[in-house]
Amino acid sequence: MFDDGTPIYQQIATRIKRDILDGTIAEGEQVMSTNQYAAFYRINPATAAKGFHQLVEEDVLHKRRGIGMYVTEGARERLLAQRRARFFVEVVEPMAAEATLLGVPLADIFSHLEELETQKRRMR
Amino acid sequence: MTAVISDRGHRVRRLRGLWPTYQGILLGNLWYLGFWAVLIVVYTGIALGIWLWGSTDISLWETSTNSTKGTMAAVGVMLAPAFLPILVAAGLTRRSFVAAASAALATLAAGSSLLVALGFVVERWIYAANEIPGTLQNEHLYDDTSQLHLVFVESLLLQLAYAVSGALIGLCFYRFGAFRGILLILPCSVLAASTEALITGGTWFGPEVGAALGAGWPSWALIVVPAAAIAVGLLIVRALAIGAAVRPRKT
Amino acid sequence: MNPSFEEPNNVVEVDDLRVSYGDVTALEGVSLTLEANKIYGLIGRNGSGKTSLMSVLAAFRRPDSGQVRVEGRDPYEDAELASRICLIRESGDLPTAKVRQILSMIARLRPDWDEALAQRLLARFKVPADRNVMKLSRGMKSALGCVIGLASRAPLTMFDESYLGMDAPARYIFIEELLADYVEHPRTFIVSTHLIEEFARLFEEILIIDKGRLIVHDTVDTLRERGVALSGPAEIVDRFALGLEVLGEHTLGRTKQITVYCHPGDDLRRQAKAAGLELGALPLQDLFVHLTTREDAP
Repeated sequence: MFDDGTPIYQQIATRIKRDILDGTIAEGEQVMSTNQYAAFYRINPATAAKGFHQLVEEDVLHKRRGIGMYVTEGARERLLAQRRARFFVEVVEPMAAEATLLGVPLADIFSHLEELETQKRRMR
Repeated sequence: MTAVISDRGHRVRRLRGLWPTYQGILLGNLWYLGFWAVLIVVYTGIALGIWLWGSTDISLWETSTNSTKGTMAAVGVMLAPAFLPILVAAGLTRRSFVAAASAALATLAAGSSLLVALGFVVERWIYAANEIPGTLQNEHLYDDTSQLHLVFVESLLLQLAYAVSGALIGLCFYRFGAFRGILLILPCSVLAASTEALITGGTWFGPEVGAALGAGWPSWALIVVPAAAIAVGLLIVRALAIGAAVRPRKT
Repeated sequence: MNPSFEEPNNVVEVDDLRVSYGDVTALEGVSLTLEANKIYGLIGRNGSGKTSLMSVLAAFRRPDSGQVRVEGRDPYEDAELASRICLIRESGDLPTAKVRQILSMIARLRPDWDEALAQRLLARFKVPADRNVMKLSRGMKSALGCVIGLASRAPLTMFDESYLGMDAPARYIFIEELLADYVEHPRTFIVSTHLIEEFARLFEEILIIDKGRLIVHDTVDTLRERGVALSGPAEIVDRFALGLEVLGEHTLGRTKQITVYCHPGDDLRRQAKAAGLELGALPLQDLFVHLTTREDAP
């Protein structure tokens, strides 16, 4: 945890965003205080505060004076939109480049994805 | 003075935590009680042996209690290496250490001088019952061991002189290292040696000096001069301690 | 409590500090300012001068020259200030006595001592209170030092490699307890270590000392961003490296990798990407090794 080269506060922000995306933390819900967060993950509180601050700047979280930090209403939708926008650039394009390099035809990728989809449907 | 004014006009306290430090140093020297227990057992053994199989006309207590001085010197030697780094690490100033350590040495010396005096009382009682004269071997501040106040004062001065000499030796070793420490043993011992020569005619500087030093002095001078020398010794201890760095630990 | 004369924001001010041991110079020209209530990591190789710096701050020794101020005052022989500074050296400075006796002695000398915390930590580190210190293992002694350092609650608390001999779980407990108590009772910590990766999460700022000089004083996050590994075709890398502070390089076939110490605000990352170079983050440990093994450290 917190071990790759990126600054820890960015990793914290990323982690909280992921928790909001997958529903671990609901919109309008209170998040841990920076001190609780620091103690829980054994990191410096100033670092945790920096990560939280970044999320406040992005309006993912907002402060209620004297009470704590809350997830902003509509934050999940916005995060989803951002991630969707980046999805094709960050995930699909490198995959396509890799496929070209390896000589994997596009049709194979389509059929593989469809197969995954049917498997998923059968599981339900 | 224990307080000076710092460059920003703040009154700087130099002493703090003396009482717990004093108690801590005494606790750390509890072995000294053990030494006294051994001394009393050995004395009793020798006295019993002589009573059963031999005879004597000298005071055995006078000879036995000579060892208390060397033991007080050992207490003094151990002070700096055993307590200085620990106490500075616990947030104490060196001045506080010296003040508390001096009080602890005084307590130990006074306690053991009381025992010395008490021993003479017991010995006189036993010797009187058995008609033994109990001759003294050395010169003393007193002519007769019944002068308990002088017995106590003499013992106190001697034990303190040895203890402070010991403290100086220990501090020199701690501050200047083993090589220079060994060279400094001699000057550090002057206090103990001259007090001994002055009061008991001790022969540290040879029998002539031992006999001549203090001969014909009035008895108050034989008390005041060693007391002043001990005070000067403590001031030197203080000066040496104030500049002493807590040494890096060897690992 | 804590009757301090003024509440300066800078808890430590060091100016042009020099410390030497005979012919050996341990610190030279060190100047630094530390703000109150932060956790500082003091990093350096063995013999770099970390211990000397902390010794001077804790009034364990006088500087040979230069000025040292803690809370705006000279700590040397200042009884009040000294009780507010705590330096725990490796394996602690412990007398030959039972753990319980040592703690009760220190409790009476430290004005901000928290006995409940001491007892809780003792139990957590499984240090037997009735055992003599001389019979404790090295790790136990270190743990006892950590207990004393935390329970003293000194406004300036320093740990000098205090965790040596402690196993990884015990070191984790130490980090966790330090953070927990710091959150409850904010104060200034200086923690020296060479286990940078393990301790980095604890620090807000890092000081790197090399050969008696302070070479880095930065926040952990900035430092993390400053170390960059660049790799690509040798000729492009070489062209790119001109004018950069290159800490190290190695070549494998036609590929070359360099580690660069960039300055905050540099547009290096974008430029490198544009030049088609591969960018990698440099672990702090690597950055430290690169910074302290340069031939001519500044």
